[in-house]
Amino acid sequence: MSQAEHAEFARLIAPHLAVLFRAAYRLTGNRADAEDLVQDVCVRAYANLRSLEHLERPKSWLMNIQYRLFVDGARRRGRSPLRATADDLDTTCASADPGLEEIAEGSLAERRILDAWARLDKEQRALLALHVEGHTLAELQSITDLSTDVLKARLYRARVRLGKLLATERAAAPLMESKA
Amino acid sequence: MNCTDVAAILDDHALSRLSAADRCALDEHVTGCEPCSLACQAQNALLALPMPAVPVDVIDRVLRALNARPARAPLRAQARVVMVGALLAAGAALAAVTAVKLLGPGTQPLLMPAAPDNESITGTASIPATTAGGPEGSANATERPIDVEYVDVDYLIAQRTPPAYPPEALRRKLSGDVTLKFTIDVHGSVRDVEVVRSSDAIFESAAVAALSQWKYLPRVSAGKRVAVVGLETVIRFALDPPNLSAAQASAIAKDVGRVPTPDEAGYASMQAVDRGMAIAWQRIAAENFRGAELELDELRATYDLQAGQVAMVWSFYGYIYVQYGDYGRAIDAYEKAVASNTGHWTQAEAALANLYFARHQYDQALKTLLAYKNSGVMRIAPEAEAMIEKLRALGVTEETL
Repeated sequence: MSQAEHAEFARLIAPHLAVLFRAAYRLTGNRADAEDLVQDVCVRAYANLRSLEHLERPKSWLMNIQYRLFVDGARRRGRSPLRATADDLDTTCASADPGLEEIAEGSLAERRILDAWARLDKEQRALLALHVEGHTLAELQSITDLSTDVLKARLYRARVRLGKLLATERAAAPLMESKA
Repeated sequence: MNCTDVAAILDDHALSRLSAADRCALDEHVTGCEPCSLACQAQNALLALPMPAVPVDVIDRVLRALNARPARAPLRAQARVVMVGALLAAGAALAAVTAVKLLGPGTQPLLMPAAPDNESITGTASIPATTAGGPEGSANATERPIDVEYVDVDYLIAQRTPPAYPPEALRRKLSGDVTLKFTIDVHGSVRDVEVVRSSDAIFESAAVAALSQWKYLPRVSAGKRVAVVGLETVIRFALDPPNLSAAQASAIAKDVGRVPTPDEAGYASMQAVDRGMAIAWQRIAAENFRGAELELDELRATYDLQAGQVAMVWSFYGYIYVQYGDYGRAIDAYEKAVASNTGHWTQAEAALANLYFARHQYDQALKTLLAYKNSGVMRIAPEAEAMIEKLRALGVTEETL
């Protein structure tokens, strides 16, 4: 890869990295997987570097890739071209920012949210994650290819389910504490 | 306030922007409604979750990872398979076909709104004029009421599924075409597909499978939807570039990635529009015209439609209004379809000319037909020629316009 391509790719992708990463973090619930996911998205994007700059809505396109990679995660694990370099990547993962795990340990409430979050099915998690990142229904539609009615229904159901899981977590938490 | 309102507030990210009164109404409903209460709690919990900072070095790591992997990425962009339906001369149609192929198998068929249709009617072609008798009065009359019971509308392609390129043909770098005969039934589905001739039998099953999935808005004659038999079409299989290397060909054959490439700018919304149009088609087929109209309303409100899509949506509206017998609105709709897609035959032209004719607006009818004929996008349909002849017999010609 040439330096010029290097710079071009960085220029095109950089404006969207924050959004991608935040959504990936909500999707996966932890920092390392989120970074993996973003990297996989970038690899796909890089394969189409020349046409990426002509896209009208590059963000939607990137989010669509990310959404599919996540929902289709099992297959991704087997195929990711990044696996080969995972060791290399791990050495650079250390960071000053606290990871989700550390934050979670700091707060029981957050731990409860994350536990409930992890128990949602992938599709529901993906929809809520994208939505809570500020996407409108129209944007969600173009990312997920679902109709408005289906989207609305699924979002509502996902919230109710997450609410139930949260309520269960709350009820279960004191028991666990007393055992400890 | 009810559950739907609460869901809409959550969907629209409007929770924090509610007026005091709305806030009260919301609280009142939520207190008595367990699902809504749970949904609101979930939303708040999610919003409260702290986010880590975005790692600054993620780009560098991606670039390093990219360097470490074998160079195969550009292949897809360079070598592509193009399938061209015969006579699909319009650039938009070509692009749409290309787009589908690049996605690989398993994807939704694309709507190809800008494509001129490529059927030629064999046997006795019916003249799609009005069922009314001869016209009277001056050719320049405008806004005349339609004094006939029904206006006919010809069949209209609603969804053209591109064929899958047979892998064996791809490996041997074969191009070819298949001529097929078929029937459009009263619902607009394709029936009785038969191969008339083909350059190579290897393409036949793929062509038949694709054509069998095509959808039409069926022809309307004397207020009833009718089947059209004995139609012919040609599906052409072509490689682009023609000098594809064997390695490239086999790589494409293997490459069935599900992720869209940026070649399909706005691909996701395009696909969503296609799906919406498929829903509208199904509702029309089930005579649920109001439902179809609602779906079209929603598509227009939600998406930034491309010219070809706009033409298709308005052609659907026009078709629906004809079903209602609301010819004034049908004309408005078809006019929009024609105007949105100048230079491409949308099939709305024929319907529009028909409606003008029924309203005795012969000049308008002729202008519409001539614009189509002179656009040179494709050869003129026999029906349109027949109507031009009919107008000539009434003394309306290019010279009198």
